[in-house]
Amino acid sequence: MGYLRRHPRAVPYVLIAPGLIWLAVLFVVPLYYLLTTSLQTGDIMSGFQMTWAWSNYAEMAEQYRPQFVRSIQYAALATIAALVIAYPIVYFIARRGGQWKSLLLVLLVAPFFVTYLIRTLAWQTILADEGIVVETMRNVGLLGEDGRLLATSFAVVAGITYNYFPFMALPIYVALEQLDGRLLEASADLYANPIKGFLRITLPISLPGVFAGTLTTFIPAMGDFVNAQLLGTPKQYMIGNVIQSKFLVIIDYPLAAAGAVILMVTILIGVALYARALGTERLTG
Amino acid sequence: MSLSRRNLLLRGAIGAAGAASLSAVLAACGGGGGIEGQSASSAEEGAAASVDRTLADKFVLSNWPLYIDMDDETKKSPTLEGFTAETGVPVEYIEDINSNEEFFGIVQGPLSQGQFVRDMAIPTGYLVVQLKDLGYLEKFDLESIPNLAGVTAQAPEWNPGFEWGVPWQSYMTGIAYNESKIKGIDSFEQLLTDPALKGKVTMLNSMNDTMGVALQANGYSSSKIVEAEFDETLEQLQKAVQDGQIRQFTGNDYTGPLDKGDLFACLAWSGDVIQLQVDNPSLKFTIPETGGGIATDYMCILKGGNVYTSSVFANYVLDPKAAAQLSLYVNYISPVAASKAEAESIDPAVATNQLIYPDEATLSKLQEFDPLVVNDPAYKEKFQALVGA
Repeated sequence: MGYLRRHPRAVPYVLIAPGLIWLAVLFVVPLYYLLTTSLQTGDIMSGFQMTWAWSNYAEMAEQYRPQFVRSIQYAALATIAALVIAYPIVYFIARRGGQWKSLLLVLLVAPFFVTYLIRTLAWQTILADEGIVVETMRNVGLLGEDGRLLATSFAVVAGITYNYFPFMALPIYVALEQLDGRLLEASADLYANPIKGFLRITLPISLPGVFAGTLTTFIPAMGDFVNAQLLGTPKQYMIGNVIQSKFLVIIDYPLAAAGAVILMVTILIGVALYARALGTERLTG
Repeated sequence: MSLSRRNLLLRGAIGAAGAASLSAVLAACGGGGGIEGQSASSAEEGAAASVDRTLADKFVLSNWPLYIDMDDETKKSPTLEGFTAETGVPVEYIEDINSNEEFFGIVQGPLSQGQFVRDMAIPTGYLVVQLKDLGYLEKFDLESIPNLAGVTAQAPEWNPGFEWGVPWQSYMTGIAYNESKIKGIDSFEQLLTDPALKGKVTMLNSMNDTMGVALQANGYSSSKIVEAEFDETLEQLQKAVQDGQIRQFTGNDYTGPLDKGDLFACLAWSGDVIQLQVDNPSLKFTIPETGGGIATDYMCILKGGNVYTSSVFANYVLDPKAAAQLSLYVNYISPVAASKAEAESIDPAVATNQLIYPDEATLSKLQEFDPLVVNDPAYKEKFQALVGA
């Protein structure tokens, strides 16, 4: 304590030290290993050597372009779907939930206490060829006689949407929950109809929640591989499946690492553009 | 002191098993440097040292889920209980091998750093070869396993006298089909061409299983692989994927859809089908005339594991009585021929089941897949391209 009293300038550094150490150990060091691994060549039997093999990146980007593109498409579709589904639901809970608010919120989140894998396997059952959903859709003509949902792109996007749903719903809920009802009353007093009130007051105030929700949904969805594996076919495989197979099956750590770096950089650029378009300063300030 | 260290490392390993992808990253981080230092000759070191024949105070064993006998009421395994009763060594039993590849990802990092992971694990033959070549295994103390004499199978070339791996169970790869959906399956070719099966067929996502059956269907050998034949066969499968004939490549997860009728036919493992048949008699299993696959899971001692305790354990489970008890429960093929007589006295129906105690005619149709090819990165990459990643 004496030291800090004599050197007051050191106080902020001491205070941020735990955070910095955390960041260093769990982010900077792994990132360093990831980057160096991505530039190595070799195989598991003879070992991997650092050769500055930038060609790893070219190889991954060329060979697995379809999976990269597909990941972006699926993640974007799932994010939009989650937003469209989540917004009305949490709006209702936050604004009209009343005394049931907590209970409704628990009901919303409850399925997610079950592990990820089991939830995804449950969708396998729901969307099964002989299941009730497909039967019904066939009977009303929405699906052809031998049409199916499982093992299609639809099933994969639906699975991702469902699995990341709380990441979308909860930030929007927090934003809507904090909305001061008197603002809407005031807008009504000023002859704004409910639609105008929503567009001019509710929506802008909830935008930070939407921004956070889309990011926390889109980013993990980009790297997802479980849904494609369990609900899709090889034609639906995403870049996460490729990286997983390079790591665990082919055991080509450098190529897997290069794929992971490409994925990370793609997401970073995407998020930067998105934040710029939506203007985080305006949102948070 | 050593006990607490083991506990500590073990916890870490279990945590890693929960997050397979994370563990893969960690393994990759820790692995790179360590592997370079390994030399293949470390295999010989184990042989020279004489074995310390004192039992450890604990035995840590990794296995696949549902791959040991289990008393439904006590939730304890009679085999493990019996071993502990006989030797006084408690077993820490961990069901964390979900696939050979994933398990390798979990243990590779620690093993490359010379850390203790488990005394024993029970992976499939081709992974044992790889672990051996990397110097990650200890040799068994064969003198402590007299029951090896009862093992009928020939020891493979890479495993003289079963010193690197002692057989646990074998399983067949063949075709399973749902009789209520399709009358019968005559050949592997039918899976790829029959319009009635379009989109209702899956293959296995492991190269040895799928390519093993597919190669033989073309009249090629799967135990000694020729690259041109491999490529040609791969192309046929690729076409079937593109046409939508093959719906998916799966691990154990084909069982649910097959049972429900989403799949009409698929490549499958014998033991799975026997278990499904209990509730769903319309499921059938057949080995195509052109040939099926057989693979063996081996007990092996991971580097740093207790050699003597592991050898005594291997000897215990190869006892015909214990072997019969195990095979009757897990429904796979016992390595011990003499266990059939024991099994007959417990459950005559199961003992005559061709899938558990196959006769010569069945066995002659089965080929073990070339282990060198399974571990070859170039072949792996080709096969992974087929399964979509």
